[in-house]
Amino acid sequence: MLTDAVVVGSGFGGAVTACRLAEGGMRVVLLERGTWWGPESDRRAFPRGLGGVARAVRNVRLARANVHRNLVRDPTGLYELHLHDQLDILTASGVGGGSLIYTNVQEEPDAEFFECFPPELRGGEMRPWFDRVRAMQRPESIEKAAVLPPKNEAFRRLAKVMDRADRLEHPDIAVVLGDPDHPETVVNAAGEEQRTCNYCGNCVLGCMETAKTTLDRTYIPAALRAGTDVRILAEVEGICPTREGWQVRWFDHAAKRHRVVTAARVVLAAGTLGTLRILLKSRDRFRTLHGLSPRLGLGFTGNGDQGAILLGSSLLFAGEAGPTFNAFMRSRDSADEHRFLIGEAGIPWTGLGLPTLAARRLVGTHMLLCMGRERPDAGRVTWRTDGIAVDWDSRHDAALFDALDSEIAATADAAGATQVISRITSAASPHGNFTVHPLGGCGMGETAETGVTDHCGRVFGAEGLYVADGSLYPQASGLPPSMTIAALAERIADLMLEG
Amino acid sequence: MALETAAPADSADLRNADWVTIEAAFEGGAEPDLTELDGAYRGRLVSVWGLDMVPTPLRWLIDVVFGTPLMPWRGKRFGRNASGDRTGSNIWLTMRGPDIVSFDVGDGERSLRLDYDVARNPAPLRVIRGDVRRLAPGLYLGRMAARLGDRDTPVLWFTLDNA
Repeated sequence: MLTDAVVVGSGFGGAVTACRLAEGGMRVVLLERGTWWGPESDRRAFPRGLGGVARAVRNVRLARANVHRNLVRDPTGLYELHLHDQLDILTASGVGGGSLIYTNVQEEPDAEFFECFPPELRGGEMRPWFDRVRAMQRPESIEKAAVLPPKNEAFRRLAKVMDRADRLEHPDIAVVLGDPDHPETVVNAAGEEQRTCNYCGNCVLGCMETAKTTLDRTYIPAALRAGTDVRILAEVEGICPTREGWQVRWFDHAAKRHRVVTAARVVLAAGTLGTLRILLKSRDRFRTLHGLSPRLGLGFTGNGDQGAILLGSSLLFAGEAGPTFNAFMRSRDSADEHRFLIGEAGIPWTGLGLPTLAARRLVGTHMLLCMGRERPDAGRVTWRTDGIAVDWDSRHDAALFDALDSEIAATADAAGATQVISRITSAASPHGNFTVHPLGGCGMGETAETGVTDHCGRVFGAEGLYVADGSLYPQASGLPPSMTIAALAERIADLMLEG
Repeated sequence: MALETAAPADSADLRNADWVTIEAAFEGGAEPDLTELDGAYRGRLVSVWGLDMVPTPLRWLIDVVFGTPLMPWRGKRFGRNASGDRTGSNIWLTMRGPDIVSFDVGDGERSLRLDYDVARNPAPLRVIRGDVRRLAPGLYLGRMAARLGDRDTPVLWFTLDNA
């Protein structure tokens, strides 16, 4: 059968695109490789306890130079860890994509960031699309909460000790805030019920309180109401142009067999790694995709992510209470442009359910999360035999990562930490790192020489094929990217409907 | 929406199907580029001539055997020879098993043509001709025929898959 559009993935790009295309009258099929998550009886419950987290691993994919292997493979799992030569990457799987386990931040980049995009996106062009995302997700700053979490008071003291109070920012977060001691039910912008946040701090394990405004509570219900056919456990293998449009072959994990759907348009929004896997596999393994930009896979970035664990801090709050990541200190360069940020990402202690003895020993243990504007053309993603491989090395922007090391050391010192473990990675090399924000590889550009897609997300050389996720980034923003991805998807869907 | 009515996407969609259905799937297939098939493809025998006439339970049993190690054919490997021409061979026992019985690859009638009339094949095998069309990305349907006089007589159907 021929449908109007197949959207691959249900994260910040796919959920938005499917919703808006369906609302615009298109027949939309949304293929999501994961399952539904949440406290409802017909969904899989988010993991709790160390055993629960272990059982929620979808895959650990070793993609080293000499070893390509999937160590765990549960298609209903939530977390996927990709271990490349120099970069470890954590991604999510499920209806709602990364929104299920992200740290809730909905931050708009400065207007100057869009200078790296095609000219159509510059000069405030994105304003209405950010506003549409804002209207659906209703993010707000933790400062507007009835009660400020104690960890925020501690982080403010830290900023003051470091003489950086002027750099302290409280970004908007997509969490329904209220009185944490008396949670109540509210109706969100999509007409769905959510509970207000109880400050349990388990955001990155998935919110069992429904306080986190994940996409399966906003755009996806709206997409379903508009007639979108949502298929779960549907992992796309490859695509191929046909006379009518596009053939999409996917593996139905429930029935354990392949299926095919044909559509006039295909929107790849499977997350940066997912979208690159589909495009590169179709081009290099199936050989059914020709004429793509030579830029495919280039410009990959980890968004300058760097994590660190502080041990024995006496200043930071010894507990996780409050949304995971809701404040950071920002550093700007001489031109007043964003350079990097550093904040405390709460560890979900109660959700992990550590044994009492271990929990006692870990009092004073905190996690810092940094993001920075990596230089362009940081890395490259290629197809290798049976999967993608990421070629990335922190030395391409040593100045940034050295600055992050220094900032982490200074923060640890001010926080009274007795020990710092920085650059958390499985890579043996000191130039490795870890990211939760893989971006780029299908960067927008003015031509096929400078980008893989145009400003509308249309893939150069492949009519009817679109990309709508983080892979569109021409370079790193050094900020949590979810709101920008959603805004780009809003714009792409609108332009698709205009024809 | 009934996605299940879509074209065959898996060898399982053609197992136990009658020849008319398989021929229809082949007709609906697309012509692969000459360079499209490259490397190893898992093969699955879908049907052989006369299977239509076998009682259903026995046909199912034969189909099960097609998918077990009792069927030694594992698939095909495609590549180039020293002079750059497209060639291929059959894989036996395991996917890393020996490549025996070769063929040349060329353009056919809306299909890739597999021609077994090559010098190193035993004479009885040189009458074999194959045609392969793409059903979906990574999935191909092939028809094997015997060249008798100036006619190709279909003998069996198989799928190739590298998903």
